[in-house]
Amino acid sequence: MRGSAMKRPLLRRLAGSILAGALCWISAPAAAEVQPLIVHAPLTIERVTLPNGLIAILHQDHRAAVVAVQVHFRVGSKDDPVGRRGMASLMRHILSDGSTRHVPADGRAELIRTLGAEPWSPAIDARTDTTKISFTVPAQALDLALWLEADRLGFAADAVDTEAIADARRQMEEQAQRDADAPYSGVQAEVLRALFGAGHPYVVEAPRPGELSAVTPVEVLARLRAWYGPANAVLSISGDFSITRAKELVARRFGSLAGGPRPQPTPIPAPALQGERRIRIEAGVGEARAVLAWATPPIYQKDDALLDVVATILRARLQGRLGGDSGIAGDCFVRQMSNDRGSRFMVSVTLRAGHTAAEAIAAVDQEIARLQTEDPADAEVSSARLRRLTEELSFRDTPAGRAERLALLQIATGDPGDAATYAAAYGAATAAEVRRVAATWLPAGRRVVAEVIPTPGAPRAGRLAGGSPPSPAAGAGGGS
Amino acid sequence: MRGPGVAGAALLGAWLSACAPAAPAARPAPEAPPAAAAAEAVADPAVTADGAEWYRPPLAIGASGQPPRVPIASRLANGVRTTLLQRRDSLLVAARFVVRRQEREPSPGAATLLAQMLLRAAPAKGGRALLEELESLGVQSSAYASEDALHIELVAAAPAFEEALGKVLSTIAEPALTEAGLEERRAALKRSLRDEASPRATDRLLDEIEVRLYPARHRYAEPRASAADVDAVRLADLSRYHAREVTPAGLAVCVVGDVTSALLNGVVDRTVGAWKQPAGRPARAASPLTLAERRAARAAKPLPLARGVVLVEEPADRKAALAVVLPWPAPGSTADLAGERFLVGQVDAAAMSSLRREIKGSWRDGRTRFLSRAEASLMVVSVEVQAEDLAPAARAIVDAIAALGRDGASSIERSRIQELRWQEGLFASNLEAARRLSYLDALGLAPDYWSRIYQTTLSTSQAEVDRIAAAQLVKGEARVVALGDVASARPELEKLGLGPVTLVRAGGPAAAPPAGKAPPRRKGP
Repeated sequence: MRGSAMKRPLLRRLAGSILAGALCWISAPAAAEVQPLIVHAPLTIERVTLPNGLIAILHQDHRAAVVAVQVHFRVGSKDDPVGRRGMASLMRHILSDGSTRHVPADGRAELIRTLGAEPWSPAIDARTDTTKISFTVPAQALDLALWLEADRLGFAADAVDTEAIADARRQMEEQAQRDADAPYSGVQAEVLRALFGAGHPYVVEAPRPGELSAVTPVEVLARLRAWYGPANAVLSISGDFSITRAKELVARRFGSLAGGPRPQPTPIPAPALQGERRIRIEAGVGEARAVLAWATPPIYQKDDALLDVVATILRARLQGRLGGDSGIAGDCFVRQMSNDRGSRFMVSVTLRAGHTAAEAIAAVDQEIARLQTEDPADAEVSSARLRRLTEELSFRDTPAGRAERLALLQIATGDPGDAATYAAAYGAATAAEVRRVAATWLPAGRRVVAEVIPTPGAPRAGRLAGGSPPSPAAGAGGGS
Repeated sequence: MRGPGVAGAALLGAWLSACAPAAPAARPAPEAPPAAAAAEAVADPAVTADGAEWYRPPLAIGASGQPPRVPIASRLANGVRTTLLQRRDSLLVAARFVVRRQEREPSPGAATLLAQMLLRAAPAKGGRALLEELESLGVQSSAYASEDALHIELVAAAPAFEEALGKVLSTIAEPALTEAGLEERRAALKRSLRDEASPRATDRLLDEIEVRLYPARHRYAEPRASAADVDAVRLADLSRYHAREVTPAGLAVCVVGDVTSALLNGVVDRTVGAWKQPAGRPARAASPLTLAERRAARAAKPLPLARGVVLVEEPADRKAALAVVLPWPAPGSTADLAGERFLVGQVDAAAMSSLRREIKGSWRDGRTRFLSRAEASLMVVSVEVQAEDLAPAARAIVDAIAALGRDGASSIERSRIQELRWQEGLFASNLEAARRLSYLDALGLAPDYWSRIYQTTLSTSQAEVDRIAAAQLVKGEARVVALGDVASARPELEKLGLGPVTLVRAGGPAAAPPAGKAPPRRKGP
């Protein structure tokens, strides 16, 4: 799940409330004396839609005199055009330059510093489903932050020229070089290719050599106008401000921006994999790694939340069985990695020297089979539920976390008020439900199993071995 | 605008002048939209027309007038302190447990091992290991040791907090420390030491500064643990160390979230209220609860520092780094706290400007900071340079600092705004607020420190900052710690006039004890 857990509403929206939140869980700690409990955590917000299509979400929080201002675009790497891998990343760099019409090229940072906003500075992040611009500023600088972001939203095209594109490409190449040198960094792409099929929007791949060098300013401008305008954006503000004043400012700063139609969502094909696919990856690393992946339901669906609970339980079991000082594994990663249109459940176990991926795969298989056939103990489920809730609350602990959660909910469900009820999905997790989703979504016959084999001379990132074994089950359709 | 306004016009002017070189031709008069933009708007309805307002950034200047809230501070009869910032609308509770250190650890790495073992131990009276208990409550936790305290951190959903609090307290007070627990943590710590080696010269340099400058047997001069040091730690040493250091008077619990004072103090009292200060270990003077008490309680007497220049030998093919260090009074020991904070920015600006003028080769990672400990502080200006530039860089920084001390600071208004706004954001999240409160306790500062500093920051005058600059920014007090190739750097460093150059090996003992002190122990894995 992106950032932290947050799920599809299981409770009905609170009547009469514009947008309200209630975290609800039915039982708390494993300790018997903790009684069933319901806790309300209102996230009261206001939502404004401007005539140009921009949706603004306003959430007040007066803990400290700061405000998080974020702009999220409904575009990410999944929307990269054919033959333009890395386009979302390139656009991220273009956006980071912002407009130069009203603020000189290096003036934005200086302006923010002058106003005392240092060390805060905008961060721009291109992900699979969305692109996020985020910064947290002193409360008094809210208007300035909105002015800066409106300027970027309305006039980023000013900064587009061949030099800016070349600069963005150079930064991407440097990043790609760093990634190529990082141990195991190529493993995920191979696993996703096997899981979803080559060319699938959810397979994040580095641009091929020369692919982005053909990008022209005209193409970038067209992309900006189509995907990075107000109609395709959500402005999310959380912090210490007055709603009335903020609504005024949003209308004043963003209201005059030209709108346009919201782009059609990119079609996301169903995962191609039908059977089990096994791959071998050679990497210039010291430790073997086992990676298993399943295609799972999209974010905010009920089973997505339950798979978070399954992941928490499975991780604790694997850590107990394989980890520790005398265990065979140095690290066990288990996570439901959620996306708007289709997710994946990933297990990754890094072995200590002298142990093989096959040992880890056997242990994972046994633990998953156990989850599919036996109800976990109530205490185990209850701990996992609480852990997921604590993670979500931690995510929301900062103004930036709250602003992000609300924006992501708006984009994925159309209703940030559903924040109220998402955590209730964890409360609904029972031992029987855990067993059901494990059986439904983690079948041995429809998954990818990757073995990363330490191989002297191989790239540290890893490369697909020529002799990957044939899958014991039915072959994968569309895999790499 | 709430709160006090500050010199808005001056800041607007500063921004305009900062931006001016890049844009005079592009920026039209504010009253009318530029013709080009207007034409573009007509030509393409998808492009926004930019009216005059776009050329007037809304520079609302001023502090919010909201200082960080004052927490509720309490103290049990046996000396355990609690600090609570109650937030009724928050389901997340963040807590920090601080055990103040008073002594040097029995061997390097022992304090870290003890902190981590406390988090994983079972209570001596029986029960499951603390970490297991916390995980079953969905609580996130971590532990580490700083120069002044052992820290344990919890993040819990509100309903799980009370139970978690009791379990942590009972384990801290009476843990069952075991050989198996020690071996498990020993292995984990050695693994992390292996993974931690930083490639950045300035990071390696920071590891050296306090080791080389503070008195050799002081805990601030403890070298970073090596794998051999960690292997040398014995369970009996740790048990004795726990008995000496972990006492009621040394413990503080800092909590932020939807928790009442009655609940917090009730649990603390029930769990560790009967815990007695060990015999032969009288409680220290009660911790001050106000800044005035803090100043009165602590003599403004800095720890003696080794003098001169310390050159830590590194291979010629590695980056060199340099720190110019000024001794500073311990936090809270003078009334000049806000003024001192202003000076960090001033020194940084002056030093970096001087480096830009004087250093021809490349340099990076230039930064000025305080290394603040409960008993002393250092102001440190550090930078990564070429080995042959170590001496010129040291001279450039020292001269810039001396000029500030002699001539006075430049306008403090911009620093004032930055400082106030930084302080206003300190408690923006529960976790960050709990951390800030715990740092105060570890440094022996009063819980109302930030709200008082906020007021002082508002009222500090230029003359006060100049007075502090004159008192503290003195060339003769500057020390230099450098990391680099001896052949390139030593001859020039000797000409600096800052005292003799003491040559030491990275991770090794001093070739000649600085200022007549015993050589520090080996540092780093």
